[in-house]
Amino acid sequence: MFRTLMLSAAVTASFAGAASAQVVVSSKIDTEGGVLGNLILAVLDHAGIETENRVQLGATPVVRQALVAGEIDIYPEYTGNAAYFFNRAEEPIWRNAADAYAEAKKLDAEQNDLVWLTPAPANNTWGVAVRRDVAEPAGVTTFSQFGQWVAGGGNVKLAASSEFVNSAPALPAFQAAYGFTLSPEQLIVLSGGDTAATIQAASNQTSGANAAMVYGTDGQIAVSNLVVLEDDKNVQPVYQPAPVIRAETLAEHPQIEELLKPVFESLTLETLQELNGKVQVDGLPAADVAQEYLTANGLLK
Amino acid sequence: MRGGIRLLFLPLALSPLLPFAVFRANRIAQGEPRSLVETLGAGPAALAVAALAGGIAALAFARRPAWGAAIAAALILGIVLAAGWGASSLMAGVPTQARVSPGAGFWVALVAAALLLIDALARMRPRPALRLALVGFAVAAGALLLSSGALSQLSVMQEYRNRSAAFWREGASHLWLAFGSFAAAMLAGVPLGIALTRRAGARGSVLGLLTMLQTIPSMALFGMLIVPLGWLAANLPAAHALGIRGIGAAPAFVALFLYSLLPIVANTVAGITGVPRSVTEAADGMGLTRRQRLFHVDVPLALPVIITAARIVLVQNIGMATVGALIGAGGFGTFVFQGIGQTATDLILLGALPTVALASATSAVMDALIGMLPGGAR
Amino acid sequence: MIELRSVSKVYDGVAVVDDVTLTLERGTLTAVVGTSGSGKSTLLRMVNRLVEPTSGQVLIDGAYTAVIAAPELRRKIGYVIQDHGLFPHWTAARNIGTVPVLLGWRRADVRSRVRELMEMLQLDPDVIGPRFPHELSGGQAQRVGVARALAARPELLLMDEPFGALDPVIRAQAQADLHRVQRRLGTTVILVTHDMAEAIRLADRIAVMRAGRIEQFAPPADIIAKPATPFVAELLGEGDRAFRYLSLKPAADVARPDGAAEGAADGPVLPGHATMAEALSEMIWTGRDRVRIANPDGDPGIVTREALIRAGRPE
Ligand SMILES: Nc1ncnc2c1ncn2[C@@H]1O[C@H](COP(=O)(O)OP(=O)(O)OP(=O)(O)O)[C@@H](O)[C@H]1O
Ligand SMILES: [Mg+2]
Repeated sequence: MFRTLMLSAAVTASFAGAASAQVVVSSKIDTEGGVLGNLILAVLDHAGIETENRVQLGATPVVRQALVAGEIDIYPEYTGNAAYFFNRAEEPIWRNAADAYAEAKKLDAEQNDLVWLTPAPANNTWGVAVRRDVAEPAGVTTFSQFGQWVAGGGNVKLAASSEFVNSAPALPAFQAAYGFTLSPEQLIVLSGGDTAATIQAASNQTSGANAAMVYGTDGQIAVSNLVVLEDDKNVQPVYQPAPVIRAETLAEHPQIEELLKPVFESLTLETLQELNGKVQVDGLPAADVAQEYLTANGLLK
Repeated sequence: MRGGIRLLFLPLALSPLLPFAVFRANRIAQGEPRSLVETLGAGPAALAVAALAGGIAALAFARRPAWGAAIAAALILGIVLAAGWGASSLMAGVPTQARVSPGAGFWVALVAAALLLIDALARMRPRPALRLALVGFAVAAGALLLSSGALSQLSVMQEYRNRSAAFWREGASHLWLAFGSFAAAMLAGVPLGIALTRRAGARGSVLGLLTMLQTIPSMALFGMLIVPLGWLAANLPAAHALGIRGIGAAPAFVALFLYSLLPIVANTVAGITGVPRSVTEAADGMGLTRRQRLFHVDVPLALPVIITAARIVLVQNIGMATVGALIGAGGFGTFVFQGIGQTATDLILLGALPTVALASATSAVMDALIGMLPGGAR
Repeated sequence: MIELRSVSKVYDGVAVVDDVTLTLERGTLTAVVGTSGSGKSTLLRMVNRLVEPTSGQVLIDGAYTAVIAAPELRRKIGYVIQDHGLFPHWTAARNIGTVPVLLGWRRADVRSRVRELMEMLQLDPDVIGPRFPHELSGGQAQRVGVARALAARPELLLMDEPFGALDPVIRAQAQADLHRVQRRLGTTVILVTHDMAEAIRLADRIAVMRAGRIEQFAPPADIIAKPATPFVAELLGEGDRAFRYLSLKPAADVARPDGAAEGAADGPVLPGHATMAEALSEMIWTGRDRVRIANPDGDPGIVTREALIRAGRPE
């Protein structure tokens, strides 16, 4: 499916859409897409740039293709996804934040006339979060510390999907890199489980779970009192969100780059968790959450 | 009420023993069950149980199906109102992020009462006109209930309140997608089917092609349409002005249109070729022209079969339009997929429930229409 | 007058109707008989151009049918088929009015014509008229089919096994109806049938078909008296051809005044139109050798067994 879409994207790219005066702002349909898309939209609107709202447009391949085809002008994308856009998923370059960003920026500039603007210093990658009441006493904030702690007999019980436990780039890669091994008794495998289920398990200590498979910026993490382990040896590809804009649009509105820079720079892992949490946990509309954040932090000048 | 249907009295009578509501600290937290007494308070709970017992007794002695239907409908109304009232009392004095949704007891009672209602209605054997009136009545009652505010503290209604403008906007796009593509498919499919009855040679290949289209998963079909539609939008200013784009409503519309064609074309062909030979021979022998035979004989006689296809297609389109949300077409699917992304069941329900209601109402109306065709039960 | 001139129909290289030439007089009833698949229906359908001849011409009253637009031609020709082919979504009355409506008659005219036809065919217009075909008995549906074919006063009526699906009692009545209607309206009728007795009873002339060709075209008496080929003889049924012959002739032809030389007769008096076959049947059944027959001009006549047996063999 993804492949078909990307293939059509390549074809469509050759006849980019009719330029229109408005900047079409879009994003993915998921929670973070709602937050980031509305942040961009609010900033551009506030700066007096005419926009069209196509936030939460659809799944990743659709949004990406729409951008390449010129049907939308800007949307937030993750650096790690460039690995798939350019069919280079196996390469180690994507595991280093700076390199991954530079590579994605270079490839899209050369091949698609797209510009990657300043990314957020947050990594929404596949990883592990540990209950705060376990991590803090044990002094664990990074995967290296976690590895030592577990290897030294630390009492961990991880809730994860079977895919996370079994697929080579996931848990086995972490275990190899950080020198620890989880015994079957230390794993709660939720077949087909998603991060919502694993976080709930760790949060409610279901079957004694105290750690969970997570995506870094998940809105449930903060309210569930979990802390995300830092992947300090770069085992996983880095997924930093950054606005991607058509070069043509940027040329028309060059101020967009400087308008969005401080906003994305302010979006740390914890900030994104909190904003996502307001949408996901409290059920607030993403547009309100974005507006409130920008106002409260003086980002609408 | 008689026969095996009385077995439903048991779950109905026992439902007060199950948790009536589920309380959650926030919309994705784990739910905590609340009994009927905890939800409504002891006094009102006793009243509710007494009313339920009275309802069951009345059902047991109801001789005419119409009375049974009226009592079952009243029970359903009571159960729903109790849930709305219970939600308000549970929400009193707790933070606004908290959510109350119906619990197992509610669902058991509701499903049992609904089955009793369906049984009673079936035994009433309503004429098509009465069926239409009943659908209209149910829709009106539902609308009144929802707009009265009696249910406003239920979790789904809270989701609605947070995005009421979006709800109606997406509802409008959903209807446009489902019914618009259906109308286009009827306009194209019926004439195509008629043409195929006259060219038996082309029939196999055209139906084969349409069958193949049906087997393409919806997301893949959407993807395949992005290229040609994007090209049209980019190269034909007229197409662009008509709102044709590679993403958004246009590819979803076209995909639903393509999916609709097979049932409509196939049933048109089947309906017309199914007209008895003696009838077509008589029509020709009487001196009807081809056109007269088509409009006075072939199409009227094929109509029940064609409308059956229309019913299938409409219900299918209403369901499938939800997928359009993944390519920016909007519709109730927007809430379903956002809800999945947020693991927020209530948001998923905000998209799913109206879709189901729309599909059921449409299907009931189409059934009544089929029943109203001349020749009755043909 | 209907003329078929060297008419043939070829399907897949096989001539299912093979060089048929026939002339049918105005106001006559012609029966077409023959084994199944001999081309009877095809022949009939070439008259109203439901089937186009491969070669040859059909003329009605001297006009070539091939140059008249088919629907226009068919509206002037009544057509009745075995399964009646009534339109199931229309009432009996609307079915009967089909062709008048197509011809653009005024509504009042259509309505009164429908009543007239239904009364002529003994269908109660107020009871049967509003019914749908699935609410009619086989016999009623069949009569509605005949009424529909006659609605626009066609001068030619084509009937393809119209009574095939009826029980013997209803069939006899339908045949009587047809006879009456045809005589009264002077319609030219072509009737395809499998029932030889029906053909003999109703037809002015019978065309016997075999493998697409006409084996014999003659009045019933001639067909029975002088079958042109062994096939025609076989089709008649050799065992009972004398009875068939007797059934064509009125018993009055051989009646003599009562009290003549042979002595008096008793028993019931047969009606004056009784056939010789009926007279003989009465003798056998009542164990007599003579019966009385009504005579409108005077006392009943006497018919003797000897006279019948003599008359039952053509000279
Ligand atoms: N449309 C057609 N295409 C090919 N063959 C045909 C067609 N119509 C009739 N035939 C063939 O022509 C022959 C004569 O058919 P027709 O219907 O005229 O016979 P029939 O004498 O009416 O028979 P029956 O008494 O069974 O009705 C049959 O062998 C039949 O199979
Ligand atoms: Mg025939």
